[in-house]
Amino acid sequence: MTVRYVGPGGNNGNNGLSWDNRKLTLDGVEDTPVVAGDIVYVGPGVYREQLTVDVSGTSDVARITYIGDVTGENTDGIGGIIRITGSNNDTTSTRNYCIYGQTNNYRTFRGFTLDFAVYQEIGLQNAPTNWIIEYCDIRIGGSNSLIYIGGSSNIIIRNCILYGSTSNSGITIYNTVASNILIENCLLGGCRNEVVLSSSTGVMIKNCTFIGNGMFWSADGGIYISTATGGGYQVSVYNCIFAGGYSCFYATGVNDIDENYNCICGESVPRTNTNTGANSNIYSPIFESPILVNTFKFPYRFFELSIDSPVRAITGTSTATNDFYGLARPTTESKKSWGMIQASSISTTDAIVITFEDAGRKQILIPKSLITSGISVKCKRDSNYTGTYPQMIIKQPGQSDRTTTDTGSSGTWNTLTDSFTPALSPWYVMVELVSNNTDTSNPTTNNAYFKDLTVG
Amino acid sequence: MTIRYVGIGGNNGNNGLSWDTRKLTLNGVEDTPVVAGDIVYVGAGVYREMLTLDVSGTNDSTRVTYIGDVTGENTDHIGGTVRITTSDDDITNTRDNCITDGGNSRSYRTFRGFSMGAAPITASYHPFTLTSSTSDYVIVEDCSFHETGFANAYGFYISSRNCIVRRCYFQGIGAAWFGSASRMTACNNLVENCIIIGGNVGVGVVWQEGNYTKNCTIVSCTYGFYIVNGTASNVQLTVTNSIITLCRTDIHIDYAYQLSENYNNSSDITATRAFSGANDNDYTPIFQSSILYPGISYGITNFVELSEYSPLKAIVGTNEATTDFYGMTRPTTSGKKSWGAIQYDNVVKDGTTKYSGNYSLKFKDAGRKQLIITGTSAITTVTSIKVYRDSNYTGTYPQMIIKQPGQSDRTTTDTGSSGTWNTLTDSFTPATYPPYIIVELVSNNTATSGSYAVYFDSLSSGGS
Repeated sequence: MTVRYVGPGGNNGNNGLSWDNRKLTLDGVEDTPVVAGDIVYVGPGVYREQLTVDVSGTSDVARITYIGDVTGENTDGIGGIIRITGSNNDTTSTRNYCIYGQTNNYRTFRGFTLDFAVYQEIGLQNAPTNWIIEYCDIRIGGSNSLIYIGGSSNIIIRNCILYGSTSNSGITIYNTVASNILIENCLLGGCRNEVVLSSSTGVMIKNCTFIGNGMFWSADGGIYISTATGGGYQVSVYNCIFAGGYSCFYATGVNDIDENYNCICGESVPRTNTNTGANSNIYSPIFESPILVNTFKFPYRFFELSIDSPVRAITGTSTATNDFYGLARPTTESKKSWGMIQASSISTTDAIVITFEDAGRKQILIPKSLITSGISVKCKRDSNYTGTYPQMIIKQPGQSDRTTTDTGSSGTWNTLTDSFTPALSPWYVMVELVSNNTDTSNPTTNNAYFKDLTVG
Repeated sequence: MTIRYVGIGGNNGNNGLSWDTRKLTLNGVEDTPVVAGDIVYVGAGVYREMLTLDVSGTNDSTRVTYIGDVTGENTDHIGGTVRITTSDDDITNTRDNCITDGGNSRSYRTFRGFSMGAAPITASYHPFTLTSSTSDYVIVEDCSFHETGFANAYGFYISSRNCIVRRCYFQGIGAAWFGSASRMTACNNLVENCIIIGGNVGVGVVWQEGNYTKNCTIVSCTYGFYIVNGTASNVQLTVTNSIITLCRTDIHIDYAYQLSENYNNSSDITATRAFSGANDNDYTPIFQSSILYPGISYGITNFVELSEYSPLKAIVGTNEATTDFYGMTRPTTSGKKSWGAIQYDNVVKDGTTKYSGNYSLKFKDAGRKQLIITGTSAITTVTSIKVYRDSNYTGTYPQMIIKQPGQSDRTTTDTGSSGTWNTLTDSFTPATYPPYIIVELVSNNTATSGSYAVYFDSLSSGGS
């Protein structure tokens, strides 16, 4: 297992074994060649090339993993977007794929922005198996889909944004039987269809959020089955939110799509040849509203559920354990959110105290330069709070999480303290505050509270 | 002119003249009654009622203005979303609208800072509805609207004239519908600096003539615009400097005369592209992508902001809005203004020209970026930052603007030489609420050739 580096300012004549000796191009590092078990750190910048995958990993523990180093901690110390584009001029597409997978297996890609392919941003054309595509932002589809899966099995697409493919689809899954394909915690939208399946079985889509799907073409929409298999469901869709679109489920036979526990709001024709899931609803998801004040630009986090959302804490099925951001969801099924992002469950009724009305997590970014000896915070929990006591988790990209758990009594302000020295890069740490409450009977007396976050 | 207050924990028996003696409901304060010139501060929280307007203002300087106090500085000192909903349980629908004129003429009204939506309904009801054709001069600004469950819903649904919708966000719902068969001419309704994601129609017009849309960003809707009826040869809607992308159709019109448009981006349209102004283009706008990292929640904060690669980030338009979706000032040079609702900030991280640390913030061209500094409990705050401008920079020198909601802006302008690191310093006492200040960094560059970048580094802020 070798760690390799590639980035702007590199040279394909370099050995690629350190950031200073980095390769220049993705194909340059691929052709080293990489071998099973290798990790490649890709520095921030624009890669105007098609990465043609030439090598297989051999198992889940000996994958070949490309990581877009968005935080910069392993490459340039600055971080940013790692963009692989099919365009040379940002207006027209030149290359057929951003990542072209032929027959090679056990590959992982994390942290990339992909756009402007002529055909597909990621094309798994000749039945490669055991790929993981995660934490990628994929847009601007070409004549085909953003991701194409042909004849493959054991594919995971998770924690990705897939937005904008007007000619075709976000993800096309073709001729892939008993495929064990999982799509979870993704944002999908702005495509003619978001997921198209043809003659495939064994596909699971869960905890995804669909926005503006389907373009209101007759039949087009969220999940679209172009060719029935006649045997068994092609796809199961659970715990998803569909907000604003034409169609959610279009099938040619009622045994094509198994849907349940989905929130479907404002769709003109929610289902065609699809049975209504017994636990699906038509609630408005009620996303968090932006704070708009003239001349101020307050950060707004798109597609996160508000404290008023009826799908903020709702029983689903086989819910993803983490969410879009990779944050752990609560352990209690009925406290998990539908859609891609777990609601924080924080109310805004106090200026000083952060109140978790239920299990949830909130991250606060602290500049590393302020931290000389550590971080502390005061926490309090109500008498009916149940489960692991409230926690403070210190996270810094590239470092192990540091968890401090409340050991004091309920009803009093207890102090959580962690003494540590942050790593040099990146320039911040995240403080994650956690309520793990599992109580469901006493909603007003199972809260957790935090205040007085102190950095010293 | 009276300032009035309404909020959670209030009582409609109160006089409503201070936060401590606030009214409880929106209708409670409306029925005081409010009179022309009044300002009503509405505290953060959820208002489960339909506000029926009973009163008109008399002119632009004596409007009746309702302000959702999202920053909290005028009400509870906490702030948050100020939400009006048609539902009592966030699941089923109870009322038809959030705000309505009740079919009576109600003019010169302003609503700012509200979030409006509905639980699923299937009928043609819309969050903010003016059914009187003489409810004129109504302004809706800095508001957000969300889906109602009715596919063809609009946030602002009116049949009157001289109304403005600006700096509003619409998700899963259209922005505005201007329709009247009784007062059709010179309607002069304006939609400006709005973002619409995933609605059916962005802006719709029926019968009315002489309406405007500019600097809007419309993403993944069925129709960007939908125009029907009207009188032969009269323009019903003029569209400029807008982005219509990932929609099925940019516009539906029956006759070419209904639409006047130019300097628009109509891109990635599923059906036939109809926009054809001489200065239109069909470039993919290239929005910013998100930083995604396992276990860290940076948020999708830039979903429809133009990226540094966008061909629309600095492009000549016509009669552009002077500010953007956030109310941030756009550059003075037309060729440096962005199309769509959000002005591109021109900021990247730069590891080469820096004062200290790993990188500086580099303004490649004219632009603005805001940084939030929390904790203003120190009596005096000294805020300073290092700035460096390249030799060909032209125009007002780089600036640091200290902003706090409710307070006047404090501007410090570079007076040093180009090619060196200069220091911008401001000493001041912030207001107690809200408990943060915003530092806005500005490049005002007007040069179009040579080296004109600006770099900022080493922001510091502290008490004394």
